[in-house]
Amino acid sequence: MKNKLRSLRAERDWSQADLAERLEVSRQAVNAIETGKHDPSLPLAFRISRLFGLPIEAIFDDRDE
Amino acid sequence: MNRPGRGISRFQLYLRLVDVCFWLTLIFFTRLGLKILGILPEDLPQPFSAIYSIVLAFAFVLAPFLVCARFMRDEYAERIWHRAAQRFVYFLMVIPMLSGLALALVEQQIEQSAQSGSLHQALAAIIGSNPDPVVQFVNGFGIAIILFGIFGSLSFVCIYKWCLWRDAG
Repeated sequence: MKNKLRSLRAERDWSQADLAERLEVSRQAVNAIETGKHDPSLPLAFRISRLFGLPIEAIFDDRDE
Repeated sequence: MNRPGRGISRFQLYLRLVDVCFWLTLIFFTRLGLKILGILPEDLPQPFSAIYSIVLAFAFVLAPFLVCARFMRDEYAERIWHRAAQRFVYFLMVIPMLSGLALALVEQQIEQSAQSGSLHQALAAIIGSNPDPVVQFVNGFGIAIILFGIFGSLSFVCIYKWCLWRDAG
């Protein structure tokens, strides 16, 4: 699934480790989500949504190109 | 927003411990293979032998802990764990055939190294300490279970690390 996590993180000047700590996951998990290799669970998607103050659909896009 | 603290989380610690255990396992398997083939001497000189034994004991405890430590895995690590578990089942089906083939190929070298090896003598002493064949069978079975626990958990950690590498690549 495509997502805007990398750009949202870059806007805030956070490293992957910073974001991982805020989301209470590992840095590798953040990297896997950013590269689309791991789709986060619903609870984690809500945590991401709350952290950036955006609705889930504004961060994640499940539509194919 | 405030920057978070720089302490290592348990999820990050888990992946680091996997790294540590993986490299220790690699050293262990390499040394074991070379010992079986008689390329390396059975015992290391002191104090390396003592250090190696302590490090190895740590790996033997760490590997089963990592397999069981659900509380240290986040959802990504857990997903990798499930993938590794699937691969491990395939591995269990293939490894007896591969081991048999490999042992048949190096049978002569094993026989040569077994004659002077202290490890082989120690195993023979445990299994053959009682003349009763039933006790010998039970002792042999017990050793097989222990070895399966050690090799199984170490192999699982290696497969887990391989799955992590594949996912990151």
